[in-house]
Amino acid sequence: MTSFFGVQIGFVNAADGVPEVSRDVRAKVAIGKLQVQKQAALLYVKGMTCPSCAIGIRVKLSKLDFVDRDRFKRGIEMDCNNQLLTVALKDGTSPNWTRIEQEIDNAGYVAVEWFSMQKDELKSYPFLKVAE
Amino acid sequence: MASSVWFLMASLSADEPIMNMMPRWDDGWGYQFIEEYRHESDLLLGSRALHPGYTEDVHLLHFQSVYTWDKSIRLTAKLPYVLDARREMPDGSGGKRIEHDNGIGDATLALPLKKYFNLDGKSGSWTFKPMLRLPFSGTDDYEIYDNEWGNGLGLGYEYETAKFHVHVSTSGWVYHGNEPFESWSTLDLGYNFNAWGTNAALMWETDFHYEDNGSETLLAGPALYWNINDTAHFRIEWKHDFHDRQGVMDHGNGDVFKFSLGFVF
Repeated sequence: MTSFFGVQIGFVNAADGVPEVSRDVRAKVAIGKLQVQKQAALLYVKGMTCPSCAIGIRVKLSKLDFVDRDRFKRGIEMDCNNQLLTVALKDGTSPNWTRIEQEIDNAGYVAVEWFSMQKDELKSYPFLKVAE
Repeated sequence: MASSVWFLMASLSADEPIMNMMPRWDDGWGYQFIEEYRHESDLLLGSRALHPGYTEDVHLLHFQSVYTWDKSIRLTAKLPYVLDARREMPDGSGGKRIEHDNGIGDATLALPLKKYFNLDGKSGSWTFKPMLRLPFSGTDDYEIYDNEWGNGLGLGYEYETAKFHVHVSTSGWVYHGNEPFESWSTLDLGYNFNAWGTNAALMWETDFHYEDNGSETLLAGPALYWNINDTAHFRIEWKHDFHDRQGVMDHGNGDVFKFSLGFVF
């Protein structure tokens, strides 16, 4: 865990290669997104750097029954600069993280961790394959 | 019949639908139309213009399709159609003889096997690609396509960051008839940017073609890719022959223009 501007950050080790975005920058962007987007899931997807190559993420995830396709672009917003993925959730639903991880894998990418804000702190939770 | 065949293989060998990128996801599929126009300025033997001003103009339409089973296994099929091809040849008495070709060309099947990697800020793949040429072309005044069976093998490496991408590949073909061995090598460099709410890429692409009859061509030029939406993708490119040497008498010193529209699902 790392402390960043007083925020506890629990990134898993994803800094193989030469990251274009530091963990601190990504955390700051993630906080901003979580403060603005309600009823949405926020993930770090490793390798999601090209919006065209990553279209499959939208193709796969938008078919999940808890995704609100009326928001964003078919329910999915891709921030390829920071490799952050936002999934709009239907009211009253919660994300099925196992399905999300599987579909991102089917699309050719790696779901590393998802984020939430708890008492103004950014918390991160590694996906199963990464945690193993 | 080697004449004019070499450059067409660029379309067939170097790039894969859709725009070399998609679909990366399993059970994805797509198709792509490429309109290609090429103008050759001279009739060459070696690097010398044996008949300057003897031109060749070729207008083609390529139909290409792709299906991705698993994200690491694709099957692609490419079928070209010669809308019109016209070339000027010496008639043996100091004048020009005009020859034409049109109709269906030779099809290519390929099985690109991809090994992807995902890093923090970078994603890419290695590609191993067996290929098969199917002789579908007919007989006209001259033939753009060989009408020969062929076997090819391609290797590639590419990676992409949010701002840049690099693509390197090489491929070789052997034919079952009289056509010489040929190879294509490519280096593509691209800069990614956002435009009108979508993403696009500006590229500089360099190709080198070699045939073991002594022919070699280096061509390069810019390309623009535009992601219209998740389904539709557009690309335009222009390449110029910077170095052209023909081992047998053939047209050269040309330019090629391509307009591509691809759909992916």
